[in-house]
Amino acid sequence: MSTEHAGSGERPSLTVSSRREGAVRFVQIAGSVQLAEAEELAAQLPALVDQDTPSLLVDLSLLEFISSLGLSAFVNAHRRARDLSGSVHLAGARPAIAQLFRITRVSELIPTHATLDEARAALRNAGAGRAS
Amino acid sequence: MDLTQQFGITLADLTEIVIPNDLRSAKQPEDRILAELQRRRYDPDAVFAIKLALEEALTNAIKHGNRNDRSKRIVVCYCIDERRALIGVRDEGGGFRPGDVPDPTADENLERPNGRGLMLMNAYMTCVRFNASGNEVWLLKENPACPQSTPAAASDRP
Repeated sequence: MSTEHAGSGERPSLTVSSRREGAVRFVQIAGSVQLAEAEELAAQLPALVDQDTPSLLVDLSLLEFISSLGLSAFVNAHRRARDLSGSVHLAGARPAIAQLFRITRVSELIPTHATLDEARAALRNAGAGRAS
Repeated sequence: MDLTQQFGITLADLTEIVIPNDLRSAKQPEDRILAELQRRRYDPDAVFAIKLALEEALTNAIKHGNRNDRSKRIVVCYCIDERRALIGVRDEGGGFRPGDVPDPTADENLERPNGRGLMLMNAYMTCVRFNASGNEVWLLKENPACPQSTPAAASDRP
């Protein structure tokens, strides 16, 4: 699934794509999560968490900008995932984005990893923890 | 608010843009301000900080100040030179008291989806000033790349 956000005739400012990897939905967010697009993401991202895919792995390596309205998308997704015994993991955030997550302490709420491999390993361990 | 006393400017120094009260219209003043920052060669970190604070101010004005009322307007004013960027955002609401906003970084508030905008404005700007009623905010960012910026202002902000 892929969603693009742009005004008429404009290059998309935000692209959100996702695919299912077992019980995890892999999501890539590319571009800028700003203003109206942030509001749409705040509704779209939590909806990707469901009974079949209670966990999200979000690739932030192509994310250039996000405001607090966009952060609410991750917080709401985290809450929904937790209620379904899943989790949200973020990976590959650029320095400015990672700093924003740290300043708001959202990085303490939602695990934030340097690489996708680290995030996948953490998700596997989380799944093993729940199974034991 | 006495702009001369607060920031050493007059109304004649400001560019004013009036927009309808919706998030899509907010892109227009943002694009113009970002273009001016690029023209003045602000570095990427400063541009990110200003863009973030501006979006937080616009979002607050649209959603909270004007309560998403499409009949209302937002006024954005700015004055940007090589030394600093000054941006004002005014809504038509009754205002609020910034001191009443809970700390979003407190443990008990971390899972709240909203409430981080004011904290981010303060974290990323050199200074943030509200008028007495709280429906107008001024964001000041000193250009860290400008030799005339004070060392303290350049070092203690993201």
